Amino acid sequence: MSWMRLRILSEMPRLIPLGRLLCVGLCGLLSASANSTPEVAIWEKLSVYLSAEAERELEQLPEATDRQALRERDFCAAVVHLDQQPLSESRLDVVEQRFQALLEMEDNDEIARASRYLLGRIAQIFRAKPDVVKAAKYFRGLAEQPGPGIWDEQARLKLTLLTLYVLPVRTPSERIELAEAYASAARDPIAVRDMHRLVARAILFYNIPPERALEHLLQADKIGGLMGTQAADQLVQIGELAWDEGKEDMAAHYYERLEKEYPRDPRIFTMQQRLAGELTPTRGKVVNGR
Amino acid sequence: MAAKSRGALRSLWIVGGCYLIAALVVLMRPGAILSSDERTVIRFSHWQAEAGPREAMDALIERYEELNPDVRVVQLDVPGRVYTRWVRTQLIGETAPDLIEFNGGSTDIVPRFFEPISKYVNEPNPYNKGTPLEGMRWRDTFVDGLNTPSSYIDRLSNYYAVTMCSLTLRLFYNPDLLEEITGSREPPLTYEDLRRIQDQVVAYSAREGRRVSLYAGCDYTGEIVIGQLLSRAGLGVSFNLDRYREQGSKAAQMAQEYLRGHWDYRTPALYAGLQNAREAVPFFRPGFQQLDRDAATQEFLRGQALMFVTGTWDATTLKTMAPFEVAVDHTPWPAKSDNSEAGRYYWSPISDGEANTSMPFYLNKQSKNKDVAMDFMRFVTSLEGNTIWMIKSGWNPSIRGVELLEELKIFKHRFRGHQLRTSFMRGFGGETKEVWQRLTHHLTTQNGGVEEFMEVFEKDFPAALRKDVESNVRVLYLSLRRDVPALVSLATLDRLVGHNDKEVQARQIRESSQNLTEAKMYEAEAVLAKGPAVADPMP
Repeated sequence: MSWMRLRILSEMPRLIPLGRLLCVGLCGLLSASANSTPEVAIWEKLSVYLSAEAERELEQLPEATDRQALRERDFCAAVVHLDQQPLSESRLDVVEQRFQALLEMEDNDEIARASRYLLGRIAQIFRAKPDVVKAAKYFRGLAEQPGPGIWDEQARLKLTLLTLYVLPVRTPSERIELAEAYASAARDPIAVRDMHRLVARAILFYNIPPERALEHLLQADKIGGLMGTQAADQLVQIGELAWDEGKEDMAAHYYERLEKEYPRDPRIFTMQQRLAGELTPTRGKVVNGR
Repeated sequence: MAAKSRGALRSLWIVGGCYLIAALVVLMRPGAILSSDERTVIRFSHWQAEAGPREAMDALIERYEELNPDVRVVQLDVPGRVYTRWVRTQLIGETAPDLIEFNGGSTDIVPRFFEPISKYVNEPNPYNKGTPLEGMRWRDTFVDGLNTPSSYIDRLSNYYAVTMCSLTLRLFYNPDLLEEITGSREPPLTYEDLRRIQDQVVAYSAREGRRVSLYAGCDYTGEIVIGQLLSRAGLGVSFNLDRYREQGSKAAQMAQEYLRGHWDYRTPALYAGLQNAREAVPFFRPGFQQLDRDAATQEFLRGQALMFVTGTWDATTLKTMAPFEVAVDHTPWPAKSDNSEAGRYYWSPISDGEANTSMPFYLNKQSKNKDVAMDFMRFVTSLEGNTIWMIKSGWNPSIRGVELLEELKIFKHRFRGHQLRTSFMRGFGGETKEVWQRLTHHLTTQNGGVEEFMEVFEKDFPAALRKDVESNVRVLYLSLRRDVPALVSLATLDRLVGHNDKEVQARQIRESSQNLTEAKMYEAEAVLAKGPAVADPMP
């Protein structure tokens, strides 16, 4: 017995490194199973605007081994690179090349679709001289081709915006009609809601009779899901549009909702005065007011 | 020679001894390396140098330490002029306090250095146990539900700060002097009353041979009065052009309407506002625009000005320093209901605006005692803590259900009233602000007047406004560029780790907000490009 003990003790120094090795391997396996995509921590940093920290962590990640892991890494690295300062045109060229490379490997998986969306966004808002026609091409392609992720609806929303304000379309009415067509093609309720809201806003911007804006906002309200200031603003907008259209019961209903859901909103007062027959400020003819 | 070297040696001993004592004092401070005080130390910083807040914080610390004997709280009040620079330096040097009062939710300081506190504010505040607020989510115990831009930061979808108080603009006056001048201690209820008192002030000054002004005058109070007279007159204009049906256009929208040719400062209501501002110039002492806020405070405290229009943050300073009783009331402004010429374009009543709470404290991400720091904030914004705050500071509370002291009731936010949504004097941006700052004296000096002002103002304002709109567009582009990687990251995290419904909804809200921002940006670009022809068909 004592001989055995002696033997174990004498073997100990040699066993320690082996034990260490086993521990390290086990820890590695455990951490790999707990977080199979090491980029998650980087994405979390990016989501809260910590781009410099994200870049530092990215540099410290162990090398990706298989093809899919490498694809995840390349996509993450491209977005991290896009988020660094200074944002020069040559940086944007490099980022574009990275997204293009991802597209060449596979053009419609979720990474590819996010890359196409980002290529559109680079052309639309990152370049010093925006190329909205090029951006619209990426967005149109995504909107028309089914695929995984949220990117078709996101692209459709951006296409709606560009159509409403920037792309060469002859008249404001035609802009609205085209945008309404995109809205009817959308499937995700939140995207549909936001398109209704954008179209309503553009109708008011172009001084088109506001009745249609009211219809769009009522559709958006049916879908719901807004919170905070945006939600309160929409209730006020519907109430005010209804008032301007002479739909006083509808106006009263939306102000009741405003009062119930946002009792501290200072805009309740004016509508209460108005409904009580008091003199209140009014909208002018220049914006199609009542 | 020997005596000289003995003297030098003695000096060396004295210097060395002083250094040693100083080092020991520093090293043995509670929380330092040689200290026997093993309490957890948390530090917080603010810039409220006015009388009241510091003393209130001392009282809160005392009570908190009594309830939590294992914690020591240190207050750091840093002068406002250097505060922002000081905070930045401390944050970068990783020596910043645990809790930091900060203004600037739109900067990158918040995500970089401050910790989101949503998990804290969504839980009940344990210090409210046994009160009507027991069991209520902490954020719901604030009068504004913490829905203030400095606390809930939309683009980060998180709560970041808790607030201490609520502030309003009021009229502080000297009732003894008022009685001496008018024979009554009653403050003016209407603008017409105020004008009558002004006439009596002028007569009193001539009679007594000592100059007394109606309002304490400086650049700051001048801007408040002129700004209010103009913006209140503009309420009807901003409603008239309320294109998006939000009950009045905000400044960015009004800037576009200007470029579309729908208003200018000759629009009758705004011109009347300028005329009222001109008529209000004699309310102040001559040259008031060259003076700073301290000069106005001194003027009031010396009994050389009857009234002081300022925020409630000055209340305690004025009340503690004045050798006379200081009374407070609402400031009278022109009103349509007065049936006066001055009030012709003025809607009333006007609310105190959105009731956002103020004095936000953020949690330092580097804090080693985050839970303790938040526990201190829970206490100071509990029913008990915020009551102590109100009593000692003389500032209104941020917490529901705190029973207001009789003298503070006048500071309470007035919700009922129309809402001013555009500041026509300073609301459009830096370029137009500079024009106002540079040219207002044409309106206010003895040789000036409304037309004299308009003559120079109309030359510079349109180009400055255009620059402000262009600058706003640039800022929107930058903000969108910052948001794209963040939103793509959230969508990627949905794919990789699967977010819960709440997190998905938070992303969707940010995306909706981004779409709206983009629409506003393109509208501004279109108006800049086409002006009044923005809705015309393309050639």
